[in-house]
Amino acid sequence: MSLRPKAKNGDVVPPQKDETPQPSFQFKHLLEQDRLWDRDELGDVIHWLRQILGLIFGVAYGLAGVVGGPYLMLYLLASTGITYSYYKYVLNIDEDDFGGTTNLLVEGLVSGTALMVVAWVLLYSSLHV
Amino acid sequence: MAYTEGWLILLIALGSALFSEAVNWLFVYRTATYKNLRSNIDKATKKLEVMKGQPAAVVKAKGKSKKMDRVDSYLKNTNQALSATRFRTSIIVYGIMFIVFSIMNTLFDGKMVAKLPFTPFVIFRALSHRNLPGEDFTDCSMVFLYAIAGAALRPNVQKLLGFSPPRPTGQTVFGMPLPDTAKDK
Repeated sequence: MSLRPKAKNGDVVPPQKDETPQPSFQFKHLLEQDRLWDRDELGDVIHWLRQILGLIFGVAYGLAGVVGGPYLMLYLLASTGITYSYYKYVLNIDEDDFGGTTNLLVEGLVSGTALMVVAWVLLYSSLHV
Repeated sequence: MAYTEGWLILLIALGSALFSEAVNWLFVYRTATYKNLRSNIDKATKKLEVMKGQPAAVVKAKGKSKKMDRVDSYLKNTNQALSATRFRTSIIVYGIMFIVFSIMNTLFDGKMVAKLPFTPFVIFRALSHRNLPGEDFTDCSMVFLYAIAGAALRPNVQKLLGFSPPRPTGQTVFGMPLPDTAKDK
């Protein structure tokens, strides 16, 4: 879904006469506020963010040799918090335009968590047992 | 390095994911039928989302709600047709996966392939401790590691190769309908 950006007071900015079509995705858009996001583009960005966070946490846990279920919960909270903060405050996304908070936060959650567990388990088994 | 079997299982899971996508590409993704269906779905999705983004008064005044229903219905039918194209190759893929899994079961049955750094929930122990001796539930069986590795790798392989299925429109990821997004402004 490509949506019109919103002004700070919440009003939708109307299309301008000389407005050019939104360019296709580039990496610099990852830090751009108020860009017109396509649903698929935004979903992919959130998915890959989750995978990167999963890999970072899994490798860090595995190398450090930490043990215990609370670390899994810590990952879930941190990953969700970082993802939410990123699209809410960096991209300035209104989640209602994309099906709600749950719809966005679920993107990449299962595969990201599985990736974290795999990295953690393999590194822990290889280095600390 | 201990537990090298775990890394081998990860490689096998990666190979399985790549193999299944290769089979799908050979028999499904490169066919004109699939490409047309996918292109039609993308166009209809964009059209529907533009319509839904318009103010409710405009939708009503221009009689666009019936058109939206037609596009929505067309999208559902096209998605079903897309799923049907993948059905036959799914049988081939699952057949091969079953053979691979049987071979792995023969090689790794009863062996601990990794050590879990946490004790799994009770509902997962049947999988994580499958056919392993003793009561130490941090011992990890091949089945659990293979399943987790598959869950981690398959969606990412699909996305990297550009073969991920289209996202559902008009509904949440749990299949519930989205609230009406026509803006009343």
